[in-house]
Amino acid sequence: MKKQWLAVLMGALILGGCSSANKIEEDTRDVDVVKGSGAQIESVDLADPRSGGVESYGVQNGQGLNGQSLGGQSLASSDLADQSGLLPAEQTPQSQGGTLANVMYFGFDQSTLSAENQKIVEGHAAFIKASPNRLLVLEGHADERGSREYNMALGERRAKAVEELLGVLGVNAQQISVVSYGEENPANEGHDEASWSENRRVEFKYR
Amino acid sequence: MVKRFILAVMMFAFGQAHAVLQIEITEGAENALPIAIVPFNDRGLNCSMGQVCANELITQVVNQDLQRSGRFKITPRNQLVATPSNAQAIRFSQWKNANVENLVIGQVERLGNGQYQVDVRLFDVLRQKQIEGQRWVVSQDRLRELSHKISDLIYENLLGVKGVFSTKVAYITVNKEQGQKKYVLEVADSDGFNPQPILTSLDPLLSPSWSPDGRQIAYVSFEQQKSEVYLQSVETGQREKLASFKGLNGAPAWSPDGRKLALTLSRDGNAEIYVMDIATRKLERITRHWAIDTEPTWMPDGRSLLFTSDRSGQPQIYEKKLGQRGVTRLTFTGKYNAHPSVSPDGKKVAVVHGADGNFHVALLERDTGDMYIISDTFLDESPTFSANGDMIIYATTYRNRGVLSVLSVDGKVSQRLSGPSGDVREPAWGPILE
Repeated sequence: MKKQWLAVLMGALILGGCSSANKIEEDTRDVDVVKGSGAQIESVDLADPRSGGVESYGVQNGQGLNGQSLGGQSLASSDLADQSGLLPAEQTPQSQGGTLANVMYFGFDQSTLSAENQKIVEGHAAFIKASPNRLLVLEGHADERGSREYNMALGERRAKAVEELLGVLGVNAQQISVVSYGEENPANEGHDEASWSENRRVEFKYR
Repeated sequence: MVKRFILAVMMFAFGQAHAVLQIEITEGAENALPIAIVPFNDRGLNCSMGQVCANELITQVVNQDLQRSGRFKITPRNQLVATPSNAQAIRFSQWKNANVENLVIGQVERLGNGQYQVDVRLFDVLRQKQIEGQRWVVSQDRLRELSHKISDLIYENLLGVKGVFSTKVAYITVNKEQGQKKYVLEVADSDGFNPQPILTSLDPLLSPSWSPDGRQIAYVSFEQQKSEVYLQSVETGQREKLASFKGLNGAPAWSPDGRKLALTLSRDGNAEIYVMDIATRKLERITRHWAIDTEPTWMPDGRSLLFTSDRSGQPQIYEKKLGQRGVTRLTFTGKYNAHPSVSPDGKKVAVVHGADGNFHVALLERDTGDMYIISDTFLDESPTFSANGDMIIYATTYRNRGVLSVLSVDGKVSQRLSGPSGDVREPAWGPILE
């Protein structure tokens, strides 16, 4: 049985070796659909809103897209790439016990807040009530297991569990917003339980 | 007993596009049709060493297509009893004695101005008759396209089902460049070749969904630092924002008539299913429950939606008949069933199935309620049926990297498709275009 594949493989090697020698010239009379879409790539490239600061949203607006105010205002002062687990010192919310954690973790497919997590939320509640000009974004995340859209909803539910408790603790709802990234922005890119446990989380991001 | 053959079939580049294919046959298919594909004759093509021969390319692609489907038992090349290049040269008794029931021969001739003339004939060995014969004239850059067409022709003639080899697959790739992730929505041939980027972003992209006419793709983009649903023309690249409500905007799924999009929104509190009329943008709310309701997919008749809900405590698949009260739970096996994809005949549902900490593709038979696991890879997700229902494409993790895999529906033949680097994920198999 294995011999049959050897023949195929050898054929493949011959093909493989010649590929670059055989690049074909663009035949404009014979453009197919995919080629057509390929030609449009440039026009649909998205500018990186982070690279050029707030102004870069003009690219999308220039294409007739309605930029969400959330994106525009939010980028001015926050460092979205920061996933270190702690806010920079000058921005760090303090509680009586010292520095507040700005990330909390969950069990698989879970969104209930442990006693420890409730303590963290209480600390943030005290901080934000004393800081009426601060805005808090609760970022919900999930680990990579299971389906992506379900994880998107799961990340939101985690963040909303925090939002709800903040509400109960008397935080002004106007100061809080929620966004879920599902499994799309893992804190740890590994594929094992140790990594996954770091990815099932809610991050507190102040602006 | 499970036999396993793994082989790197070929590396081949057209333009800058590389693809590596691996065919993994986990078991010989029982009802596979015995067929012999005689290497296409080159009719004096005069291919020098190290050059792609058109006849060899077509032979390879057709072999791989039919192999991948799991529906054929292809005579190995070194066991062919003869290599006739025209009908007159065929001695049917020879093939019959070798237990070959169907025979494909072809020849390729180079015409002037870079065009190729390709003749293909398919024979029924037992009846000693030609079933199909066709001639095409194509330019060199369309030889792969033609090869898939030939595979489709053979498939439909012998199985009575349309082939999906000429269809397209959309998916997301993620590459890290200078510490930053770059997301690309790509459209490629059904075997992973000729990948064409149609959108690039530095923020997550996910959930591509083809319109039934194959002209548009709906997807989710985080370009505004939150989930939003966009529509994009595959041909022109023109795009429009369809949903950007407060909260989640995700899981778009085109209705069979192409007029509506089912999607998940959390604008009214938590993740619920809605149906949007694309022309009027009018929204109709479909589910009302405090639990997560997401990942809607249409039944082929367009009269009901399947979706994932954790209203029982864990994610399971439910059906909502449009215009009727209540929902019906469909899955009861295992603690995690999500991301339903329905076969074109409506009889099978492919899901992401979690059991004992592993996630695999499982099939639910709607008639019997039976469910069985058909993939055996790691962290499997996002299964979608091919348009003819004979194959399923899904995303999996192989050597710490996201790759796409194609499975025959009986789970016996799988082929891994992957690019040279980065993560590949979120496949969506496009429709058959007339």
